[in-house]
Amino acid sequence: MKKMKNWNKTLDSLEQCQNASGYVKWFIYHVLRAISLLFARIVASISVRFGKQSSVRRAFTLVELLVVIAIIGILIALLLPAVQAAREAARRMQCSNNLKQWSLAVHTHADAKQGWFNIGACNNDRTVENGRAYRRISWPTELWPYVEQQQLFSQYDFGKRFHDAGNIDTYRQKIAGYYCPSNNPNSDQGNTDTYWRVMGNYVTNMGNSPLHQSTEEQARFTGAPFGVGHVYGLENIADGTSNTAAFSEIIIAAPGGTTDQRGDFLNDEGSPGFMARDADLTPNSKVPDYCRICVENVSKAPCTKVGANTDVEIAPRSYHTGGVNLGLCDGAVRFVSDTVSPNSWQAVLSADGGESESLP
Amino acid sequence: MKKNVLLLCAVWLMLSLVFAIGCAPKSVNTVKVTGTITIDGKPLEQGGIKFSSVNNDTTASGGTITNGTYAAEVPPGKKKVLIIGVKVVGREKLYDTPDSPTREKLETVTPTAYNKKELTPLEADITGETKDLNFELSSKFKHK
Repeated sequence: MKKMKNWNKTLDSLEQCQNASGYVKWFIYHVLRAISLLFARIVASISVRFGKQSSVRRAFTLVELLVVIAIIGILIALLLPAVQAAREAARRMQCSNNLKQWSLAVHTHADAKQGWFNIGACNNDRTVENGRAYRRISWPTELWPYVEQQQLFSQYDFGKRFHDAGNIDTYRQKIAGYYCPSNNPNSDQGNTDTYWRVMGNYVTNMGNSPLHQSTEEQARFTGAPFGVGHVYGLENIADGTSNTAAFSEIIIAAPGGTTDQRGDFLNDEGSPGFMARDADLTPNSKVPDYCRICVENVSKAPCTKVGANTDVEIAPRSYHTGGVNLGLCDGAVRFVSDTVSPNSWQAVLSADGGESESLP
Repeated sequence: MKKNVLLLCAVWLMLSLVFAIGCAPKSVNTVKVTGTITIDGKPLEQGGIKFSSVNNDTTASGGTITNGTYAAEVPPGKKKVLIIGVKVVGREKLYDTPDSPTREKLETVTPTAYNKKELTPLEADITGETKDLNFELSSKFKHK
Protein backbone atom coordinates (compact mmCIF):
# COMPACT_ATOMS: atom_id res chain seq x y z
CA MET A 1 0.00 0.00 0.00
CA LYS A 2 2.92 2.28 0.76
CA LYS A 3 4.30 1.60 -2.69
CA MET A 4 0.94 2.45 -4.17
CA LYS A 5 1.09 5.86 -2.50
CA ASN A 6 4.45 6.59 -4.09
CA TRP A 7 3.08 5.73 -7.47
CA ASN A 8 0.16 8.03 -6.84
CA LYS A 9 2.60 10.84 -6.25
CA THR A 10 4.33 10.26 -9.58
CA LEU A 11 1.02 9.99 -11.30
CA ASP A 12 -0.22 13.24 -9.78
CA SER A 13 2.53 15.08 -11.58
CA LEU A 14 1.64 13.19 -14.72
CA GLU A 15 -1.92 14.36 -14.34
CA GLN A 16 -0.97 17.96 -15.15
CA CYS A 17 -0.28 16.61 -18.58
CA GLN A 18 -3.06 14.13 -18.96
CA ASN A 19 -6.02 13.15 -16.85
CA ALA A 20 -5.18 9.66 -15.63
CA SER A 21 -8.25 8.00 -14.20
CA GLY A 22 -8.16 5.82 -11.09
CA TYR A 23 -8.32 2.75 -13.26
CA VAL A 24 -5.22 3.73 -15.23
CA LYS A 25 -3.36 4.30 -11.94
CA TRP A 26 -4.35 0.85 -10.72
CA PHE A 27 -3.31 -0.65 -14.02
CA ILE A 28 0.08 1.03 -14.12
CA TYR A 29 0.73 0.00 -10.53
CA HIS A 30 0.10 -3.63 -11.36
CA VAL A 31 2.12 -3.57 -14.55
CA LEU A 32 5.10 -2.06 -12.82
CA ARG A 33 4.81 -4.58 -9.99
CA ALA A 34 4.76 -7.39 -12.53
CA ILE A 35 7.85 -5.98 -14.23
CA SER A 36 9.77 -5.71 -10.97
CA LEU A 37 8.83 -9.30 -10.04
CA LEU A 38 9.95 -10.50 -13.45
CA PHE A 39 13.23 -8.68 -13.10
CA ALA A 40 13.82 -10.47 -9.83
CA ARG A 41 13.09 -13.74 -11.55
CA ILE A 42 15.43 -13.03 -14.45
CA VAL A 43 18.25 -12.14 -12.08
CA ALA A 44 17.53 -15.31 -10.15
CA SER A 45 17.54 -17.43 -13.29
CA ILE A 46 20.83 -15.94 -14.42
CA SER A 47 22.45 -16.70 -11.07
CA VAL A 48 21.05 -20.23 -11.21
CA ARG A 49 22.50 -20.70 -14.73
CA PHE A 50 25.97 -19.69 -13.74
CA GLY A 51 25.90 -21.02 -10.20
CA LYS A 52 28.15 -24.02 -9.54
CA GLN A 53 25.59 -25.91 -7.52
CA SER A 54 23.13 -26.05 -10.40
CA SER A 55 22.87 -29.30 -12.25
CA VAL A 56 19.57 -28.49 -13.99
CA ARG A 57 19.75 -26.35 -17.19
CA ARG A 58 17.17 -23.68 -16.79
CA ALA A 59 16.09 -21.59 -19.82
CA PHE A 60 14.46 -18.13 -19.94
CA THR A 61 10.73 -18.23 -20.31
CA LEU A 62 9.01 -16.52 -23.23
CA VAL A 63 7.57 -13.85 -20.97
CA GLU A 64 10.96 -13.03 -19.51
CA LEU A 65 12.43 -12.54 -22.96
CA LEU A 66 9.49 -10.42 -24.07
CA VAL A 67 9.84 -8.22 -21.01
CA VAL A 68 13.48 -7.62 -21.82
CA ILE A 69 12.58 -6.76 -25.41
CA ALA A 70 9.83 -4.45 -24.18
CA ILE A 71 12.24 -2.61 -21.91
CA ILE A 72 14.74 -2.21 -24.73
CA GLY A 73 11.84 -0.94 -26.85
CA ILE A 74 10.97 1.66 -24.25
CA LEU A 75 14.59 2.83 -24.06
CA ILE A 76 14.78 3.16 -27.86
CA ALA A 77 11.48 5.04 -27.89
CA LEU A 78 12.91 7.49 -25.38
CA LEU A 79 16.22 7.92 -27.21
CA LEU A 80 15.06 8.09 -30.82
CA PRO A 81 13.63 11.64 -30.72
CA ALA A 82 16.87 12.88 -29.15
CA VAL A 83 18.94 11.22 -31.88
CA GLN A 84 16.71 12.71 -34.59
CA ALA A 85 17.03 16.16 -33.03
CA ALA A 86 20.81 15.81 -32.98
CA ARG A 87 20.84 14.83 -36.67
CA GLU A 88 18.68 17.83 -37.61
CA ALA A 89 20.97 20.10 -35.59
CA ALA A 90 23.92 18.81 -37.62
CA ARG A 91 22.07 19.47 -40.89
CA ARG A 92 21.19 22.97 -39.74
CA MET A 93 24.83 23.60 -38.92
CA GLN A 94 25.94 22.47 -42.37
CA CYS A 95 23.26 24.70 -43.86
CA SER A 96 24.49 27.75 -41.94
CA ASN A 97 28.03 26.91 -42.99
CA ASN A 98 26.95 27.06 -46.66
CA LEU A 99 25.39 30.47 -46.04
CA LYS A 100 28.59 31.68 -44.46
CA GLN A 101 30.60 30.55 -47.50
CA TRP A 102 28.31 32.52 -49.84
CA SER A 103 28.51 35.63 -47.64
CA LEU A 104 32.30 35.42 -47.54
CA ALA A 105 32.35 34.92 -51.33
CA VAL A 106 30.41 38.17 -51.71
CA HIS A 107 33.05 39.95 -49.64
CA THR A 108 35.90 38.52 -51.68
CA HIS A 109 34.03 39.59 -54.82
CA ALA A 110 33.60 43.10 -53.42
CA ASP A 111 37.33 43.26 -52.60
CA ALA A 112 38.20 42.27 -56.15
CA LYS A 113 35.64 44.57 -57.87
CA GLN A 114 36.01 48.01 -56.24
CA GLY A 115 33.37 47.31 -53.58
CA TRP A 116 30.65 46.07 -55.95
CA PHE A 117 28.64 42.99 -55.02
CA ASN A 118 27.70 40.39 -57.60
CA ILE A 119 24.41 40.93 -59.46
CA GLY A 120 21.33 39.31 -57.86
CA ALA A 121 19.96 38.36 -61.26
CA CYS A 122 19.33 40.00 -64.61
CA ASN A 123 16.14 39.55 -66.62
CA ASN A 124 17.06 41.21 -69.92
CA ASP A 125 19.98 42.83 -71.73
CA ARG A 126 21.03 45.89 -69.81
CA THR A 127 23.94 47.88 -68.45
CA VAL A 128 23.77 48.28 -64.70
CA GLU A 129 25.13 50.62 -62.00
CA ASN A 130 28.74 49.37 -62.14
CA GLY A 131 28.93 49.96 -65.90
CA ARG A 132 28.87 46.27 -66.81
CA ALA A 133 26.45 44.81 -69.35
CA TYR A 134 24.51 41.71 -68.35
CA ARG A 135 22.11 39.35 -70.09
CA ARG A 136 19.79 36.82 -68.37
CA ILE A 137 21.85 35.46 -65.45
CA SER A 138 21.58 34.53 -61.78
CA TRP A 139 23.72 35.34 -58.75
CA PRO A 140 25.93 32.26 -58.25
CA THR A 141 27.77 32.79 -61.57
CA GLU A 142 29.87 35.74 -60.43
CA LEU A 143 30.61 34.07 -57.08
CA TRP A 144 31.91 30.80 -58.54
CA PRO A 145 35.58 31.84 -58.51
CA TYR A 146 35.28 32.53 -54.77
CA VAL A 147 33.73 29.15 -53.88
CA GLU A 148 36.37 27.04 -55.64
CA GLN A 149 34.48 26.78 -58.95
CA GLN A 150 36.87 28.70 -61.20
CA GLN A 151 36.51 26.14 -64.02
CA LEU A 152 32.73 26.80 -64.25
CA PHE A 153 33.36 30.54 -64.27
CA SER A 154 35.85 30.28 -67.15
CA GLN A 155 33.34 28.19 -69.09
CA TYR A 156 30.51 30.74 -68.69
CA ASP A 157 30.15 33.27 -71.50
CA PHE A 158 28.76 36.58 -70.19
CA GLY A 159 27.88 37.57 -73.76
CA LYS A 160 25.19 34.89 -73.82
CA ARG A 161 22.05 34.27 -71.77
CA PHE A 162 22.14 31.58 -69.09
CA HIS A 163 19.92 29.26 -71.11
CA ASP A 164 21.98 29.52 -74.30
CA ALA A 165 24.09 26.57 -75.45
CA GLY A 166 27.35 26.38 -73.51
CA ASN A 167 26.16 28.41 -70.53
CA ILE A 168 23.35 26.05 -69.60
CA ASP A 169 25.87 23.25 -69.01
CA THR A 170 27.45 25.27 -66.21
CA TYR A 171 23.99 25.60 -64.62
CA ARG A 172 23.72 21.81 -64.58
CA GLN A 173 26.69 21.22 -62.27
CA LYS A 174 25.66 20.25 -58.77
CA ILE A 175 27.68 22.15 -56.19
CA ALA A 176 27.38 21.02 -52.57
CA GLY A 177 27.02 24.65 -51.49
CA TYR A 178 23.71 25.00 -53.37
CA TYR A 179 21.85 22.67 -51.05
CA CYS A 180 20.63 22.68 -47.47
CA PRO A 181 20.79 19.06 -46.25
CA SER A 182 17.42 19.43 -44.48
CA ASN A 183 15.53 19.78 -47.76
CA ASN A 184 15.81 17.78 -50.99
CA PRO A 185 19.61 17.82 -51.37
CA ASN A 186 20.97 17.31 -54.91
CA SER A 187 17.69 18.20 -56.64
CA ASP A 188 17.52 19.41 -60.21
CA GLN A 189 14.75 19.87 -62.75
CA GLY A 190 15.19 16.28 -63.92
CA ASN A 191 15.62 16.78 -67.65
CA THR A 192 11.96 17.76 -67.95
CA ASP A 193 12.75 20.77 -70.10
CA THR A 194 15.30 21.56 -72.85
CA TYR A 195 16.75 24.18 -70.52
CA TRP A 196 16.66 22.21 -67.26
CA ARG A 197 19.13 23.22 -64.54
CA VAL A 198 19.95 22.30 -60.98
CA MET A 199 17.94 23.72 -58.12
CA GLY A 200 19.12 25.15 -54.82
CA ASN A 201 18.08 26.36 -51.39
CA TYR A 202 19.95 29.65 -51.12
CA VAL A 203 18.49 32.98 -52.10
CA THR A 204 19.73 36.57 -52.00
CA ASN A 205 18.09 39.37 -50.04
CA MET A 206 16.11 41.62 -52.39
CA GLY A 207 14.56 43.82 -49.70
CA ASN A 208 11.14 45.47 -49.66
CA SER A 209 10.39 44.97 -53.31
CA PRO A 210 8.73 42.40 -55.53
CA LEU A 211 11.04 40.11 -57.55
CA HIS A 212 11.12 42.53 -60.51
CA GLN A 213 10.82 46.23 -59.71
CA SER A 214 8.49 48.64 -61.44
CA THR A 215 9.52 52.32 -61.49
CA GLU A 216 7.12 53.18 -58.66
CA GLU A 217 8.47 50.30 -56.56
CA GLN A 218 11.98 51.66 -57.08
CA ALA A 219 10.86 54.97 -55.61
CA ARG A 220 9.80 53.42 -52.28
CA PHE A 221 12.62 50.85 -52.19
CA THR A 222 14.78 51.18 -49.06
CA GLY A 223 17.72 49.29 -50.48
CA ALA A 224 19.01 45.74 -50.47
CA PRO A 225 22.36 44.18 -51.27
CA PHE A 226 20.91 42.39 -54.32
CA GLY A 227 18.31 43.00 -56.97
CA VAL A 228 17.11 41.84 -60.38
CA GLY A 229 18.64 44.10 -63.02
CA HIS A 230 20.53 46.14 -60.42
CA VAL A 231 23.90 45.81 -58.80
CA TYR A 232 24.78 47.29 -55.43
CA GLY A 233 27.96 47.58 -53.41
CA LEU A 234 29.32 48.01 -49.91
CA GLU A 235 28.62 51.75 -50.02
CA ASN A 236 24.89 51.01 -50.48
CA ILE A 237 24.72 49.19 -47.12
CA ALA A 238 24.13 52.34 -45.10
CA ASP A 239 22.41 50.49 -42.24
CA GLY A 240 25.64 48.59 -41.62
CA THR A 241 26.70 45.17 -42.81
CA SER A 242 25.82 43.60 -39.43
CA ASN A 243 22.25 44.88 -39.71
CA THR A 244 21.55 43.83 -43.28
CA ALA A 245 20.72 40.36 -44.57
CA ALA A 246 22.61 38.97 -47.57
CA PHE A 247 21.34 35.41 -47.98
CA SER A 248 18.69 33.10 -46.62
CA GLU A 249 17.16 29.78 -47.56
CA ILE A 250 13.95 28.57 -49.21
CA ILE A 251 12.23 25.23 -49.66
CA ILE A 252 12.66 23.53 -53.02
CA ALA A 253 8.94 23.02 -53.41
CA ALA A 254 8.79 20.65 -56.40
CA PRO A 255 12.16 19.03 -57.14
CA GLY A 256 12.50 17.10 -60.39
CA GLY A 257 10.43 19.44 -62.55
CA THR A 258 9.57 22.96 -63.67
CA THR A 259 6.19 23.12 -61.94
CA ASP A 260 7.33 25.42 -59.13
CA GLN A 261 9.69 28.38 -59.38
CA ARG A 262 10.73 28.13 -55.74
CA GLY A 263 14.12 26.41 -55.82
CA ASP A 264 14.82 27.40 -59.44
CA PHE A 265 17.43 29.82 -58.10
CA LEU A 266 19.53 29.83 -61.28
CA ASN A 267 16.74 31.61 -63.16
CA ASP A 268 16.00 35.34 -62.91
CA GLU A 269 12.29 34.44 -63.14
CA GLY A 270 12.65 31.59 -60.64
CA SER A 271 13.77 32.30 -57.12
CA PRO A 272 17.10 34.14 -57.18
CA GLY A 273 16.02 36.07 -54.10
CA PHE A 274 13.67 36.40 -51.15
CA MET A 275 11.83 39.60 -50.36
CA ALA A 276 9.04 41.19 -48.34
CA ARG A 277 7.38 44.23 -49.88
CA ASP A 278 5.43 45.12 -46.73
CA ALA A 279 7.39 43.16 -44.10
CA ASP A 280 4.65 40.53 -44.38
CA LEU A 281 6.79 37.68 -45.58
CA THR A 282 8.63 36.81 -42.39
CA PRO A 283 10.45 33.43 -42.09
CA ASN A 284 8.13 30.46 -42.82
CA SER A 285 5.28 32.95 -43.26
CA LYS A 286 1.67 31.77 -43.32
CA VAL A 287 1.16 34.26 -46.13
CA PRO A 288 1.39 32.32 -49.40
CA ASP A 289 4.34 33.02 -51.69
CA TYR A 290 3.16 34.82 -54.82
CA CYS A 291 4.63 32.85 -57.76
CA ARG A 292 4.33 32.78 -61.55
CA ILE A 293 4.25 29.01 -61.40
CA CYS A 294 3.91 26.85 -58.30
CA VAL A 295 2.27 23.81 -56.76
CA GLU A 296 -0.05 24.23 -53.82
CA ASN A 297 -0.16 22.15 -50.65
CA VAL A 298 3.60 21.79 -50.17
CA SER A 299 4.22 21.45 -46.44
CA LYS A 300 5.38 24.79 -44.91
CA ALA A 301 5.38 26.44 -48.38
CA PRO A 302 1.91 27.78 -49.27
CA CYS A 303 1.61 29.65 -52.57
CA THR A 304 -0.69 31.54 -54.89
CA LYS A 305 -0.21 32.11 -58.61
CA VAL A 306 0.15 35.65 -59.92
CA GLY A 307 0.45 36.98 -63.45
CA ALA A 308 3.51 39.24 -63.39
CA ASN A 309 7.09 39.16 -62.07
CA THR A 310 6.36 42.56 -60.52
CA ASP A 311 3.87 40.80 -58.20
CA VAL A 312 6.14 37.88 -57.27
CA GLU A 313 7.13 37.72 -53.60
CA ILE A 314 8.90 34.81 -51.94
CA ALA A 315 9.50 34.31 -48.21
CA PRO A 316 12.50 32.50 -46.72
CA ARG A 317 11.42 29.01 -45.67
CA SER A 318 13.06 25.91 -44.25
CA TYR A 319 12.33 22.56 -42.66
CA HIS A 320 14.44 23.44 -39.60
CA THR A 321 12.38 23.67 -36.43
CA GLY A 322 10.97 27.13 -35.80
CA GLY A 323 12.95 29.40 -38.11
CA VAL A 324 15.41 29.91 -40.95
CA ASN A 325 19.13 30.59 -41.24
CA LEU A 326 19.95 34.11 -42.31
CA GLY A 327 23.41 35.14 -43.58
CA LEU A 328 24.20 38.79 -42.88
CA CYS A 329 26.36 41.08 -45.02
CA ASP A 330 29.17 40.95 -42.44
CA GLY A 331 29.48 37.17 -42.86
CA ALA A 332 27.63 36.27 -39.65
CA VAL A 333 24.89 33.63 -39.81
CA ARG A 334 21.90 33.93 -37.48
CA PHE A 335 18.99 31.60 -36.85
CA VAL A 336 15.89 33.80 -37.11
CA SER A 337 12.69 32.64 -35.44
CA ASP A 338 9.35 32.38 -37.27
CA THR A 339 7.95 34.75 -34.66
CA VAL A 340 10.38 37.59 -35.42
CA SER A 341 8.57 40.95 -35.32
CA PRO A 342 7.76 42.29 -38.80
CA ASN A 343 9.46 45.59 -37.87
CA SER A 344 12.79 43.89 -37.07
CA TRP A 345 12.42 41.82 -40.21
CA GLN A 346 11.92 44.91 -42.35
CA ALA A 347 14.95 46.49 -40.69
CA VAL A 348 17.24 43.55 -41.41
CA LEU A 349 16.08 43.31 -45.03
CA SER A 350 16.61 46.96 -45.90
CA ALA A 351 20.13 48.15 -46.66
CA ASP A 352 19.29 51.83 -46.40
CA GLY A 353 16.13 52.08 -44.32
CA GLY A 354 17.56 53.96 -41.33
CA GLU A 355 15.56 51.82 -38.89
CA SER A 356 16.58 51.77 -35.24
CA GLU A 357 15.37 48.18 -34.80
CA SER A 358 17.66 45.21 -35.21
CA LEU A 359 17.31 41.47 -34.88
CA PRO A 360 16.67 40.33 -31.28
CA MET B 1 -0.46 -19.84 -19.36
CA LYS B 2 -3.45 -17.54 -19.10
CA LYS B 3 -1.57 -15.47 -16.56
CA ASN B 4 1.39 -15.14 -18.93
CA VAL B 5 -0.79 -13.91 -21.75
CA LEU B 6 -2.32 -11.34 -19.45
CA LEU B 7 1.13 -10.19 -18.39
CA LEU B 8 2.19 -9.96 -22.02
CA CYS B 9 -0.78 -7.77 -22.81
CA ALA B 10 0.01 -5.63 -19.80
CA VAL B 11 3.61 -5.07 -20.94
CA TRP B 12 2.61 -4.07 -24.45
CA LEU B 13 -0.09 -1.77 -23.17
CA MET B 14 2.53 -0.18 -20.97
CA LEU B 15 4.72 0.33 -24.02
CA SER B 16 1.95 1.97 -25.99
CA LEU B 17 1.18 4.20 -23.02
CA VAL B 18 4.77 5.48 -23.09
CA PHE B 19 4.20 6.50 -26.70
CA ALA B 20 0.82 8.01 -25.96
CA ILE B 21 1.79 10.22 -23.02
CA GLY B 22 2.85 13.67 -24.02
CA CYS B 23 1.60 17.22 -23.91
CA ALA B 24 0.28 18.65 -27.14
CA PRO B 25 2.46 21.62 -28.21
CA LYS B 26 0.95 25.01 -27.51
CA SER B 27 -0.47 26.23 -30.79
CA VAL B 28 0.33 29.75 -32.00
CA ASN B 29 -2.42 32.13 -31.04
CA THR B 30 -4.43 32.44 -34.26
CA VAL B 31 -8.13 32.39 -35.10
CA LYS B 32 -9.83 31.04 -38.17
CA VAL B 33 -11.17 33.62 -40.61
CA THR B 34 -13.20 32.71 -43.68
CA GLY B 35 -15.23 34.62 -46.23
CA THR B 36 -15.83 35.45 -49.85
CA ILE B 37 -14.23 37.93 -52.22
CA THR B 38 -16.11 39.46 -55.13
CA ILE B 39 -15.05 41.89 -57.80
CA ASP B 40 -17.81 43.93 -59.44
CA GLY B 41 -20.27 41.52 -57.82
CA LYS B 42 -18.69 38.35 -59.26
CA PRO B 43 -16.58 35.89 -57.26
CA LEU B 44 -12.82 36.34 -57.70
CA GLU B 45 -11.58 33.31 -59.68
CA GLN B 46 -8.19 32.89 -58.02
CA GLY B 47 -5.71 34.95 -56.07
CA GLY B 48 -4.27 35.64 -52.67
CA ILE B 49 -5.27 37.51 -49.52
CA LYS B 50 -2.98 38.91 -46.81
CA PHE B 51 -3.83 40.14 -43.34
CA SER B 52 -1.05 42.53 -42.40
CA SER B 53 -0.86 44.02 -38.93
CA VAL B 54 -1.47 47.80 -39.00
CA ASN B 55 1.43 48.48 -36.58
CA ASN B 56 3.54 45.52 -37.75
CA ASP B 57 3.40 44.13 -34.21
CA THR B 58 2.26 40.62 -35.12
CA THR B 59 3.32 38.42 -38.01
CA ALA B 60 1.12 38.64 -41.07
CA SER B 61 -1.06 35.81 -42.26
CA GLY B 62 -3.03 35.00 -45.35
CA GLY B 63 -4.42 32.45 -47.70
CA THR B 64 -5.27 31.49 -51.23
CA ILE B 65 -8.52 32.59 -52.89
CA THR B 66 -10.25 29.89 -54.94
CA ASN B 67 -13.59 30.52 -56.66
CA GLY B 68 -14.25 33.55 -54.51
CA THR B 69 -13.65 31.95 -51.11
CA TYR B 70 -10.70 32.01 -48.74
CA ALA B 71 -9.71 30.65 -45.33
CA ALA B 72 -6.83 31.91 -43.16
CA GLU B 73 -5.41 31.47 -39.67
CA VAL B 74 -4.91 35.01 -38.43
CA PRO B 75 -3.43 36.36 -35.17
CA PRO B 76 -6.05 38.76 -33.67
CA GLY B 77 -5.63 42.53 -34.03
CA LYS B 78 -6.22 45.43 -36.41
CA LYS B 79 -5.32 44.42 -39.95
CA LYS B 80 -4.84 45.95 -43.36
CA VAL B 81 -6.20 43.52 -45.93
CA LEU B 82 -4.30 43.06 -49.19
CA ILE B 83 -5.86 41.23 -52.12
CA ILE B 84 -4.60 40.23 -55.55
CA GLY B 85 -6.81 38.42 -58.07
CA VAL B 86 -5.87 36.81 -61.38
CA LYS B 87 -7.52 34.91 -64.18
CA VAL B 88 -6.16 32.44 -66.74
CA VAL B 89 -6.02 33.94 -70.24
CA GLY B 90 -4.01 31.32 -72.14
CA ARG B 91 -0.43 30.07 -72.22
CA GLU B 92 2.93 31.84 -72.50
CA LYS B 93 6.58 30.96 -73.24
CA LEU B 94 9.17 30.57 -70.49
CA TYR B 95 12.14 31.67 -72.61
CA ASP B 96 12.65 33.81 -75.66
CA THR B 97 13.35 30.76 -77.88
CA PRO B 98 11.25 28.92 -80.50
CA ASP B 99 11.20 25.58 -78.62
CA SER B 100 10.47 27.12 -75.23
CA PRO B 101 8.13 25.23 -72.88
CA THR B 102 5.02 27.14 -71.80
CA ARG B 103 3.13 27.90 -68.62
CA GLU B 104 -0.32 29.28 -67.78
CA LYS B 105 -0.63 32.95 -68.70
CA LEU B 106 -2.36 34.83 -65.92
CA GLU B 107 -3.73 38.34 -65.97
CA THR B 108 -4.22 40.50 -62.88
CA VAL B 109 -7.87 41.53 -62.56
CA THR B 110 -7.70 43.58 -59.36
CA PRO B 111 -6.41 47.18 -59.26
CA THR B 112 -2.84 47.17 -57.87
CA ALA B 113 -3.81 49.44 -54.95
CA TYR B 114 -5.64 46.52 -53.29
CA ASN B 115 -2.29 44.71 -53.05
CA LYS B 116 -0.26 47.55 -51.51
CA LYS B 117 -0.33 48.06 -47.79
CA GLU B 118 -0.06 51.85 -47.98
CA LEU B 119 -2.93 52.13 -50.50
CA THR B 120 -5.45 49.40 -49.72
CA PRO B 121 -8.85 50.67 -48.50
CA LEU B 122 -9.67 47.29 -46.92
CA GLU B 123 -9.34 46.90 -43.17
CA ALA B 124 -10.47 44.37 -40.58
CA ASP B 125 -10.43 44.14 -36.82
CA ILE B 126 -10.04 40.48 -35.94
CA THR B 127 -11.05 39.66 -32.38
CA GLY B 128 -12.06 36.01 -32.62
CA GLU B 129 -13.07 33.32 -35.03
CA THR B 130 -14.83 35.05 -37.92
CA LYS B 131 -17.04 33.62 -40.61
CA ASP B 132 -18.23 35.61 -43.58
CA LEU B 133 -15.56 38.30 -43.46
CA ASN B 134 -16.39 39.27 -47.02
CA PHE B 135 -14.73 41.85 -49.24
CA GLU B 136 -16.28 43.50 -52.28
CA LEU B 137 -13.78 44.95 -54.72
CA SER B 138 -14.33 47.21 -57.69
CA SER B 139 -12.25 46.99 -60.85
CA LYS B 140 -12.60 50.78 -61.15
CA PHE B 141 -11.12 51.52 -57.71
CA LYS B 142 -8.57 54.34 -57.75
CA HIS B 143 -6.52 55.27 -54.71
CA LYS B 144 -6.30 58.92 -53.69
